[in-house]
Amino acid sequence: MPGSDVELFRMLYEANYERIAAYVLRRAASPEDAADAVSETFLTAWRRLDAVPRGEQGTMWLYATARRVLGNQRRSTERRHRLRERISQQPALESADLADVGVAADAFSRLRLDDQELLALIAWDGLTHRQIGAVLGCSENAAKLRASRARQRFVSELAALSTGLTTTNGIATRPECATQTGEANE
Amino acid sequence: MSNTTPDHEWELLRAIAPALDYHKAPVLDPDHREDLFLSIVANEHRPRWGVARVVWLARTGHRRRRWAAVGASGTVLGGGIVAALVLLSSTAAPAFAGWSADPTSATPAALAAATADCNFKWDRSSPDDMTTADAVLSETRGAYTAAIFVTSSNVYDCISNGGNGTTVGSGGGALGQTANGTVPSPAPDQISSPFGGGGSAPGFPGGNPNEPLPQRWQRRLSNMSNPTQRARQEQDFRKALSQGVASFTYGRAGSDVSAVTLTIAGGLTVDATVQNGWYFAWWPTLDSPTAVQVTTNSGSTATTTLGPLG
Repeated sequence: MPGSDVELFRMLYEANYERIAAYVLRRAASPEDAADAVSETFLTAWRRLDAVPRGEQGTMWLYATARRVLGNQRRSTERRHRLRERISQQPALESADLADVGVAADAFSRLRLDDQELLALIAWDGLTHRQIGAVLGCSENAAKLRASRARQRFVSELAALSTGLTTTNGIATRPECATQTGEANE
Repeated sequence: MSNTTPDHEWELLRAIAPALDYHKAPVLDPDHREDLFLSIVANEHRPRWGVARVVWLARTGHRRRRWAAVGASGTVLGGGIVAALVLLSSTAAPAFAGWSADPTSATPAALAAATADCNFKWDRSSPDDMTTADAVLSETRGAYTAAIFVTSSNVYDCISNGGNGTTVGSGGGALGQTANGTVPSPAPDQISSPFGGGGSAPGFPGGNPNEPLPQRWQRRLSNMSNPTQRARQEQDFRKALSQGVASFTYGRAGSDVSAVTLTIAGGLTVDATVQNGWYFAWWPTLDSPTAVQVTTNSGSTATTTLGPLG
């Protein structure tokens, strides 16, 4: 018995809602923006139901769509640095862990958005390189290579923050000490 | 921070993942989830092959929720002797064409037909090959045959009348299914906390378009500020009611459990099927179960009041 469009969409919706909602909620500027983004993602899927692949590829299609929706939101709201605020709202950790996590959050926030997304897809959403390739529209090997480079840049930022250095394009430099004639350095 | 290892780096990355605050994020609320689905399919016209087609409400509207078991033993219901507890009355159930409060064994032919109906729907979304999965439980109520399938990746439920009334779902996560597919079994005289849900189900019996709407639909309407959209949404809700509704519940049953009986708000008393360490029941209203009685092979019974949808 053939399924109606609504039935088919129900299947897609129930199978993927939680993952897409979690993906969006971790990245949206606010819970309200997250709700809008999830709504728009599944509305797009409903409108283009014939184009949504079956099974796991359909899930990756939804990830890719949610990613585009979030990108549009980000460009329209110019909210790019929410991560640090969210970290402060998380449950308290051991003091040593909290310090490491704080540095890690700083290092992460200094990465390019593409690098952040790659690392987040792996660490937060549990996607494999093959799945990331499907989301980003590249091969598995390309996704693996890009993820490796993103991790290296993250490590560079971690190291730089730990030693008091800043990085420019992954190259550690010492911060310039700005002085003005007649004023003592502090 | 000292030199890091790759494992530690990934650990740090996972640690900085923004927390999912279930209390503040509307997108994680089950009501919001269902309401969004209904809004999408009810308010959008999907042109297909160049012909615009008006799509009514969800044709498989089961919402997955866990009813809170408010009992002395917490989430697992206990056996024992009924003391000064709720006495289940033998209230005459309202008649629903094609449905029975008392299940019977499903014939192989009926089970095969229902499985085929449900397989077609699962094919679009299930990673499992349902044609090779064995039903751990099957039953027939009137014109409907239902079954539960357990695979290594999920637990699937299926109800079908061989016609336009078919609904499928899954609930492995809510039932505590482990990575190797095992669903925890309770103590011999107990059942696992009822898991289930309900919603619009075209082709199913029951459903009075003039009855009071479920609270979650009423909340949805009250949140709509546009009166025209609100009126249209209410019209869609009532059409969904008229097309049929269903609620269901199932879970694991201990080895000594011989019967499970549900008291449903509104007057229904529904006998669950107990088979192979599982119990299952469905009924054609959107009312939630208010109590569940567990009977063991020795004849002892215990009744637990169920809280609201959790």
